[in-house]
Amino acid sequence: MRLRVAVPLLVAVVVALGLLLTPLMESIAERRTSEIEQERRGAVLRTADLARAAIEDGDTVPLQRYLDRYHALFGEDVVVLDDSARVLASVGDLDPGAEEVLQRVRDFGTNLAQLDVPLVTPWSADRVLLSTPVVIEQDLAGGVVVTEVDLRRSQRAVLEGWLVLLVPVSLGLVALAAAAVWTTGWIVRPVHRLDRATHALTSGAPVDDLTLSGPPELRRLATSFQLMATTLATTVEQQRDLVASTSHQLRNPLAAVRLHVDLLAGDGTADPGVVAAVQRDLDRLDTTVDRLLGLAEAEHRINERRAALALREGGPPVGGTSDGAALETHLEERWAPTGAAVTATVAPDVVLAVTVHDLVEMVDTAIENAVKYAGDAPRIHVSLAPAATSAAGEEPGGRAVVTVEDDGAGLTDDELVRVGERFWRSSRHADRPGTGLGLALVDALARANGGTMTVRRSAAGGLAVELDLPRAEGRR
Amino acid sequence: MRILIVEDDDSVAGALRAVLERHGHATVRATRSDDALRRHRGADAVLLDLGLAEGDGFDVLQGLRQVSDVPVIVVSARGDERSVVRGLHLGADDYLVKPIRMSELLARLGVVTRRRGAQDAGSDTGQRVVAGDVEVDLATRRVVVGGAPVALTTKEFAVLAVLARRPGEAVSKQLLLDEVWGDTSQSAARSCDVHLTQLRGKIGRPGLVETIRGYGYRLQVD
Repeated sequence: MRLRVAVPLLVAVVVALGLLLTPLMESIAERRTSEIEQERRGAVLRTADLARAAIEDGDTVPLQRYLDRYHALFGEDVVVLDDSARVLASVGDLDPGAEEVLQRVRDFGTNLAQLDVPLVTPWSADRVLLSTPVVIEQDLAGGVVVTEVDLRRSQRAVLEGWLVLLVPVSLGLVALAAAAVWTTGWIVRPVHRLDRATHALTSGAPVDDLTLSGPPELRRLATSFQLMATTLATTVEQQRDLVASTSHQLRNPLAAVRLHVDLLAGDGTADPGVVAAVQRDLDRLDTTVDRLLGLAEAEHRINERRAALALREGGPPVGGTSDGAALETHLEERWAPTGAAVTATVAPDVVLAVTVHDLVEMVDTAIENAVKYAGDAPRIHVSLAPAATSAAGEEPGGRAVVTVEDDGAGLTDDELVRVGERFWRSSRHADRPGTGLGLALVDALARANGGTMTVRRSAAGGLAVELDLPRAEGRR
Repeated sequence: MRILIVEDDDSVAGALRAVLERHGHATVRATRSDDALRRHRGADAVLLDLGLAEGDGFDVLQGLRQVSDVPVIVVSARGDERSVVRGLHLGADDYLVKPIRMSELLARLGVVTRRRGAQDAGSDTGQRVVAGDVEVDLATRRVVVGGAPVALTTKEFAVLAVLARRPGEAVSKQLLLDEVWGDTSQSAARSCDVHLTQLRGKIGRPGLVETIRGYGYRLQVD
């Protein structure tokens, strides 16, 4: 985020500055170049005049004097050659036999003056030869003046001119970069803190105060987030307390009553018929309380899960797992002694992301339901298989289906719609004991584990309770 | 026996007292955790409620276990798996969810105190354990079901023996693995499951070995 904001900004500024500064720098270099060109050109032409006079008069003294003065002033070397490349006068140590110099001597036949200084920059050549033919009569060169110009001072001047321009600009750029980084940091830091707080919240760790820094909009967002997190945590907390205290308040009196009635039954003073009736109703109450509390607990877990999902990037919290073997073992233990005809087929490699506790709770409740309502001695079949089609957003094979089906009387279409509602029971079963909470509990547990329950007619004509549950991939 | 009842609900405590006194036990009641920790001396067993008004029942359990090995039965309104497992792991001898039936309470109480008595006497708890029509003779390593002998492999008998030495008690799977396999790895646990399934099949009395989910097993003797 920081780089994404700072880099394009800085690149744009650098490009714009480059476009602005390049012509400026060029003109500085050009000005320096033409300055030195003008100076030297004048000197060279004056030397050529003196050389012509020297050739015509045969007296090289004024020329030599002028050259000595020039050398003293500029420290540059000059050599004057006549048309047969003899040295008329020279100063400094420019070698008249050097290839470059001879080239100029050959050129003067064509009367070519070479008085242009190439653009001076800190990295251009620091010496340049200027030459002009000494014209004696019309178009006839009688010699050549060659001077070697030292460009180092001009280069320094150009460099200084450039630096005066570049140093403040660079300092400005550094300041801008720092400002950009700081500003983006100021914006991004609260965002990162929000992110961390979200993770802290979902893992149950304490959330630090978020409303400390950053732009006002983000501060407001952080405040809202904190409020939401607190509310969410409080709601879930309150619900947990409610479930706990309800179970306490319901089970305690029930426990006291049960013990007293057991004592009465042992006394022999009470009417056994009455005691038995009370025991029956206590049993019913017992079952209802168990179911209700189970339901409340499951609903609470659904909310916990939702709260976690709303804030978490990944999936639901990782709990225990269960597989077909555990299910078969349990069915054997729980149902074989009762004589109910329960059979099972389980796919061997399916591991569910559901604890054994929850899985058998759901399956047992569905089987109890079948035993109670499916008529006399129903055959009940439990199966665990990978889901044929995976739900949207899940990788294939991310789900499995647990089915509990019986071959009993089943339900009518209208009744199938209502099954799973709390306290709903088919009117045809009014004579049988039951709470009407069984399938509601199965449904809540399935949802608490990130699954769903559907009830349909089984192939054998009875009822089929189908649980679509998440698989624990790669964890065995 | 003298039994300490740690329970903050008056009517439950009253009912527990009535039942226990009717069956010839003396009772002492504590309503707060600090009382419970003060009064456990001289008690032969403790019935502990987890939902105390003052302090947490789990803390009482831990505190008790640090100073005494008096048998403790948790009697709680919390029936969720997490609480059961936690209670047993913290050293409770048994865990009952309210409401409880009188007969069950007395039976469990008998089991935990009998075991302690046997341990104090320093003897092995009987050479023969009878559970329904199943007889396990620990000395001769013979098992008789319904009058007919049953042949068990060494491992199968070893598993059964660990449970039979603690009839009616909750035995943790860790202990079972430790005593029979000598290690508690995943592979030992799977091996244990297999042997238990075979054992149950051979004895043919479903419900004899009860599973306590998330904790371990219990040999049903009543």
